[in-house]
Amino acid sequence: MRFEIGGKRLVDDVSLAIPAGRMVGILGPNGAGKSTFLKLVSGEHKPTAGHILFDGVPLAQAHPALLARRRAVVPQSSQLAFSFSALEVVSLGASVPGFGLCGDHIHAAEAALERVGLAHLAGRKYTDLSGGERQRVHIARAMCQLATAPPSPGETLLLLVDEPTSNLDIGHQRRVLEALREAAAEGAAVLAVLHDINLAAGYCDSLALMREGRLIAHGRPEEIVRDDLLSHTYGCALDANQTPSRTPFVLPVTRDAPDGGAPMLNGFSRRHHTEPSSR
Amino acid sequence: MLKPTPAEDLGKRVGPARERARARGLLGLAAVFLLAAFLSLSVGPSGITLLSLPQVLGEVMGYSAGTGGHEALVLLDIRLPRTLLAMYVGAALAVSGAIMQGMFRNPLADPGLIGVSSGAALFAVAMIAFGDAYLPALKALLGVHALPVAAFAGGLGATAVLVGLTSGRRTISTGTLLLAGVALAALASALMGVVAYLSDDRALRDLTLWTLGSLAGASWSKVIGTLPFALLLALLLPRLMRDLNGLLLGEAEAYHLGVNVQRAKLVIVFVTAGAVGAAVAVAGIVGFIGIVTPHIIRLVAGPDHRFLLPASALLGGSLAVAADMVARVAVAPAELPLGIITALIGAPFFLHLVLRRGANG
Repeated sequence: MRFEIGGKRLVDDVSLAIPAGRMVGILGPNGAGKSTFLKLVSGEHKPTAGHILFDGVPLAQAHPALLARRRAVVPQSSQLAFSFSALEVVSLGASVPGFGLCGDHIHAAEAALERVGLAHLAGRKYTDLSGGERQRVHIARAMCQLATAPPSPGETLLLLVDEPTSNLDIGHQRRVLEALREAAAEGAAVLAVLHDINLAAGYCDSLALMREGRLIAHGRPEEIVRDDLLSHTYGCALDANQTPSRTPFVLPVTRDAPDGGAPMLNGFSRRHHTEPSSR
Repeated sequence: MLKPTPAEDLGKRVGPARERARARGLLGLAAVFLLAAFLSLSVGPSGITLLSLPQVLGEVMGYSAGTGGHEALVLLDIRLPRTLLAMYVGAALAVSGAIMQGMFRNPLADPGLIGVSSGAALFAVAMIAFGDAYLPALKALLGVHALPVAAFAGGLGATAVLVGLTSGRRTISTGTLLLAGVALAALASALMGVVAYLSDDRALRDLTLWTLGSLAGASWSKVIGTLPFALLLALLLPRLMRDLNGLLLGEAEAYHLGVNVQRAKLVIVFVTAGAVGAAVAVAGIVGFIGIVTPHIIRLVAGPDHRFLLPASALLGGSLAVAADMVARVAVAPAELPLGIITALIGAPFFLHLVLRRGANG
């Protein structure tokens, strides 16, 4: 698949399968075309060449309202000009074309808020929530959107998330990613653009590495989180390693550290393990 | 994270209770709407009062012996069309205000403030002044709809300028929107001045009524003229409620939620231009109903358009009917222009909103 704007190739020759029940993370430096790729998959942009298949059907043929029953998007940030409560924002996910005018979508919204751990804030104004809570409200909204019309057998639910953890502290980052994992555990295909390689390695089933619009590599976290691959992609010296529990992680190589690694990691085993991580 | 307090716990259960509360709210507003209309029928310089109204109504419908027909005539040919038009004007302006605020994602949008009403008024005035001379065939073809259609075209032009200005932005700043509106309104009123200067005395006198708003010229032909626009608005309302709920989150988000954004915006532009145009064609520029009404509803029930739009229609209609009653009795036997009443109430309210927003950044 390829996408061009004004003769500039933003996404070039990318081919990626996102299986149901899996969480795929997209990594890459700023301007690598990650968000553009996400917009192509969401149907917001149409590819210049190539095609996107959703359950075997070209995305371009899907009606927006029908697509919305099976594909939800969590944006990077969302501004609301009016003071909705958290529950109302979530129920917006179910109050759109293709759905009934009224009905029990409030229950779906309550359930979705419960799942992201925000049930106690249902009545709170959206504008009074913290950044992490807002992000989780939008994940709940996307879940509510997908939960409103249960898919028929063989239909996949697709959740697209654009940098859900930017500007969040580590506790909120974890809660957001756990919410996404739960969606994947329930059978949805989750595609998330992420900046934090270590979080991505810890939570995603597979990682896709992009640079200058191209897909550099795609594989399990331990296959992607490698010194050479990441250093090449990000254009700086990076040192990959694994935690005792075999989750791969990466740190920048700091100045004059012995053997080019980060000194505080000396106790950990060096070099990459190819066994699957025990997440 | 904060511990749940009882009040927040309550939030968990607001769902179904809220749906019921909204249904009750709509019923209550409908009752107010009808009550206002009923009162409006009994207010005026001729002899019909609240007490004699049932008898006159009975006479109109042929159930009871009359008092000579004069009162029935007043009721049927003056007060009834006037009340119906007030109901329409208020409902159309309030709903259009709510719709525009949703589309522009800006709670200060109002057809009067952002120049849509002015554009509509300009074209209506131009149709009065020049229609017979330059567009006789078109005017004859459109009949009673000629003025609403001309006003619709003017409103459409103004809305198109604003949409072009805001297209693709996540939110438009209040400053930009209101300044563009001020510029559009100034341009329209300058051109109205030109039209007035070029036309004869009768149209010149009408100009005051156009810019201040009045229902003094209410007639059945005007009711019929607005009817298609009222029906169109009512028919498209359910569709708009859901589209606007999506658009509140942003255009990209609305698409993700299944809204056909371009088509939704096109429908919104045409529907609001039509609704406002028809209102302006029968009542001139009546300001502030489009901003006061949705604000009151949002304050009480939140910004969900599935409640906001119908509730705004009912409350806006009631407010316009009430304001028209005041216009008729305040300086009786003379009449105040309707727009003066709504501005007297609405302008301070608007100022309060602007100042409060300013304080909040």
